Amino acid sequence: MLLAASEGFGGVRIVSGAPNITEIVGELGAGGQLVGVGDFCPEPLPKVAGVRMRWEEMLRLRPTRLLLMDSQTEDSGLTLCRALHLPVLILSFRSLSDIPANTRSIANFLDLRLTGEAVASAFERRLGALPRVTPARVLYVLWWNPLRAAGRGSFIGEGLARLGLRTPVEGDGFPQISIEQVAAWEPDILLYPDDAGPPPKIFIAMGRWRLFSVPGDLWNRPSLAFPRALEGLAHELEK
Amino acid sequence: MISLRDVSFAYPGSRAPQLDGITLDIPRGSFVGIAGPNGAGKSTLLKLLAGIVETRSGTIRIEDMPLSRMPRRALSARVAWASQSPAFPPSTCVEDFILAGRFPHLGFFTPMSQGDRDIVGRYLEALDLVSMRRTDVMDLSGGDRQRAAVARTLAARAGVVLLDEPLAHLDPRHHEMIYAALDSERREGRTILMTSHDFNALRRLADRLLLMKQGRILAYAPTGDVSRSAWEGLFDVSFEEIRTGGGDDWIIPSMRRP
Amino acid sequence: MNWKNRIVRFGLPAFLLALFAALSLLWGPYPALSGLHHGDPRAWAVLIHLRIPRLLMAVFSGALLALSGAVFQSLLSNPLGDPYVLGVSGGAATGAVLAALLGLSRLGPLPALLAFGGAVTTAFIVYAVATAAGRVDATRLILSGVLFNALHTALILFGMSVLGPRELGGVVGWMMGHIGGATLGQALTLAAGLAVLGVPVFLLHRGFDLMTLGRDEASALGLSVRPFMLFAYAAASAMAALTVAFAGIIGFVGLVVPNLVRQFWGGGHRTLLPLAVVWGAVFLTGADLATRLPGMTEVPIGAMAALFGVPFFFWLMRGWRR
Repeated sequence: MLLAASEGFGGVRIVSGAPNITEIVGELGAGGQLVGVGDFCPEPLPKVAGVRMRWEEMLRLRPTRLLLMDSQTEDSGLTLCRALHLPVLILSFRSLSDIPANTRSIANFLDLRLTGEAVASAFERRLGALPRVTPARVLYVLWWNPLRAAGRGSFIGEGLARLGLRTPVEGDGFPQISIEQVAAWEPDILLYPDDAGPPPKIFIAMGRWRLFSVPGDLWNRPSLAFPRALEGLAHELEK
Repeated sequence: MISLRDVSFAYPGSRAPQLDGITLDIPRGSFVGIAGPNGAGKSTLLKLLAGIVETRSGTIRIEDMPLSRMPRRALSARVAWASQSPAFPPSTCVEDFILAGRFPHLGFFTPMSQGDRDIVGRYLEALDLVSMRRTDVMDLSGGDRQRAAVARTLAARAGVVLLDEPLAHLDPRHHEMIYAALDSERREGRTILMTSHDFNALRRLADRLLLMKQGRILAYAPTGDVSRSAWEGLFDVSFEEIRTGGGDDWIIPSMRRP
Repeated sequence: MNWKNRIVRFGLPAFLLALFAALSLLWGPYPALSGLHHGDPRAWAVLIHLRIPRLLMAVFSGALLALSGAVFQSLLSNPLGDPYVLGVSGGAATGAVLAALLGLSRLGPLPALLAFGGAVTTAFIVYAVATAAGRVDATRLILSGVLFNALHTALILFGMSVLGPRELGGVVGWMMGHIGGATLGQALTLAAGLAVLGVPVFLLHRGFDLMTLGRDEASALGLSVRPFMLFAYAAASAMAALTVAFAGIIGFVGLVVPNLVRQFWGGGHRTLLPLAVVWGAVFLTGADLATRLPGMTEVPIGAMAALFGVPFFFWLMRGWRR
C-alpha cells in the first residue's frame, strides 16, 4: 500500500494533486514514490495542492514527476515546470472511460505501462461483469441544497447505465434541478451519498420512490474503486 | 454685438418650447439685466449663448459669426458663463478653482504662466477671497463659494460675460463687491448679461433690461424706459415706486395686508 | 509645487513600493534566497516564473485599477465611482463563466480574451444605452451600469448552476481575484496597457479637473465634453477590463485609493492621477504580501484588498464634509 516516505525508490519523487490520482498511483504500486499529495488526500504526506497547485510548496519536495487535475493548473506554474524540465501530466476525470484511460496515461507517465494495462483492464472487466438488475428509473442526488443530481453523461450516470438503470437527468455534469422536476420524472429509486446528510422530509413524504443511502467516498469520485460501488448497489437492489 | 433671430429652444423630448421666437440685438459693451418669473427661459437663454445647448431653430451670431459654427474653445474664449448652481469639486482650493477659468486660453498643454496667476490674483482681491485662496472650496460658506464661481467666470477675461443669478446667497457687503467688479468689467468694454431675481440690482447695474415671460420677450429697452406697468405685467403683481433716502429709485411689490 | 514637496509626495509611495517589491521577491514557501546562493536552479525558476510575474501583476493591476477608479470618479463626479460600477466586472465575469461552460482550457489566452471581450462589450452597451436617452450624464451612466450588473449577476448565477462543482470552484476563485497564475508575458501586457492607456489619460488631466466642475461648466470653459467623456470612459473601461481579464475581480482598489490620494494630496488631477497609479501599486502589492502570512495563504487577493480597503474607507468617510 502507500508508504509515508520522503525518499523515493530509484530517485523517482512523485507529487499528486488530487485523491483520484493518488489512488491510481497507489494501485500501480508506485505509492512509495509519492512525496506530496493534495489537500484532500488521506495519506500522511505533505499537502501541496488545493483548488490550485501550490507551486512553491510543491517544489520544496523536489519532485521528479508531477500529476495534477486540469482545474489545478495555471500558466505560471506550467511555465515553471517546463523551465525546470519537470514532467507534468494533466488529467481530467469526467466520464467513466476516463478512469481506465487515465490509469493507462499515468502508468505510461511513470514507466509502469504493463502494470497500468493490467489495472485498467481489470477495471474494465469488472465493469463488464456487472449484473443487469431489474430496469428502473434512478436519480442520483449529489447533494440536497442546492439540489444537484448526476446527469446521464456523468460517470455516475454511465455507471448506473451499466447496471441497466436509467437516469432521466440530461447532461454530462451535475446540474441543479428542482423538486418539481423530480416529481415529474417519477423515479423508482433515489440514491444519495451518506455524507450528504439525511434527505429532507419532503422527499420522504412524496413517498413514491425508494430512498437508498450509498457510501459517499465510493460514489462521489471517479476512482478505480467505482465498480465496487456499483456491485454493492446491485447487491442491495436484488435483495 | 450679439444677435438672435427667431431663436426657439425646447429640451429634447419636450414639445412645449422653453424659448419661442426670440429676436434680440445686444450691442457690444452693454450691460443687459434679465428678469422674469421662474420658467421664463432666462437661464436657457444664457446657456444658448454659451453654446451649452443648441437652438431648435433660429440663429445666434456673435460679431457676425454664427455661434453654431464656432469651435468649442474659440467660443469659450469669447463667452464666459456662470451657472446658477455651480458644482464644487472635492479637495480643491479656491485658487485652483478659479484657475480653471483660464482653460479656454490654455487648453490641455500650455503651461500656466505668471500672467495667468496674476489674473487670478486680481479677481481674488476684487471679490475678497484673498484670505481664502488656499482654503478647500467645500469649507467655504455659500456666499463665499458663489463669489469664487463669479471670480472664475471673470478670470476668463472673455468679451461676453453671462451670469445666472450671481447675487444669490450673498450678503449686502458682497453685493457691493460684485457690483463694483461688474462695473469695472463693463468699463473695460465687456458685454455683460445677468439674470437676477433682485430687480432693483438689475435696474441699478444694467443699461438695458430684458423682461422675459414664458419663453418670450415681454420688453427689451434701456433701463430708464421700462415702466412700472411692464414690471407689473411681468410678475402679475402690483408694484410701488419708492425713493430711498440715498436717492435711488426702487420698485417693490406692494403687499396688501389681508 | 516646489521640488522638495514633489520628492516627498512621490518618494513615500516609491519607497514603500520598493520595500514591498523586495519582500515579495524574497519571501515565499520556497527558500529562494538561500537557493540562489547555492546555485539551486529551482530558486532561479521560482523567481523568474512565479515571484516576478506575480509582483508585476500586483503592481500593474493595482496601478490600472486605481487609475481607472480615479477616472470614473471624475467622470461621474462621484467619489463612489469605481471600475466596476459601470458593469465592467459583471461583463468580465460572464465572459469567464462562459469560458468555463464552453469547457475551454483554463490555460492560455482564451479565458482572458473572453473575459476582456465580455467586459468591453458591456462597457460599450452601457454607454450606448445611457446615450440613447439623450445627453450622457453621470446619473444615466450609473443607472445603466447598475442595470447591466444586475443582468450579469443573473447570467452568472444561471451559468454557475449548470457548471460542475470543480469548474465552479475555479470560477468562484477567479471572481475573488488571483494574480499568482499569470506569466511574465501576461504581466507585461498589463504594463503595456498602463502605458498605452495611462499616458493619454494623464496628458489630458486638465479635462478631468474641468469635469469635476460640472458638465455644463466644463463645456462652457472650452472642453468638448462629449468626445472627452467617451475617451475617458473607454480608457477607464479598457483599463479595468484588462485587469479583470488577467487577475479576476479585485475590488476596493479602484474605490479607496483615489479617494485616499485626494484626501491627502488634493483633487488636482495632475498629481491625483500619477499618485493614484503609484499608491494603487503599493496597495495591491501590500495586499499580496499579506496573503503570504501564515494562515492567510488561501485568502484570495480580492478579499484581502477588501479587508484593507474597508477600514480605510470608513476612516475616509469620517473626514468627509458634505
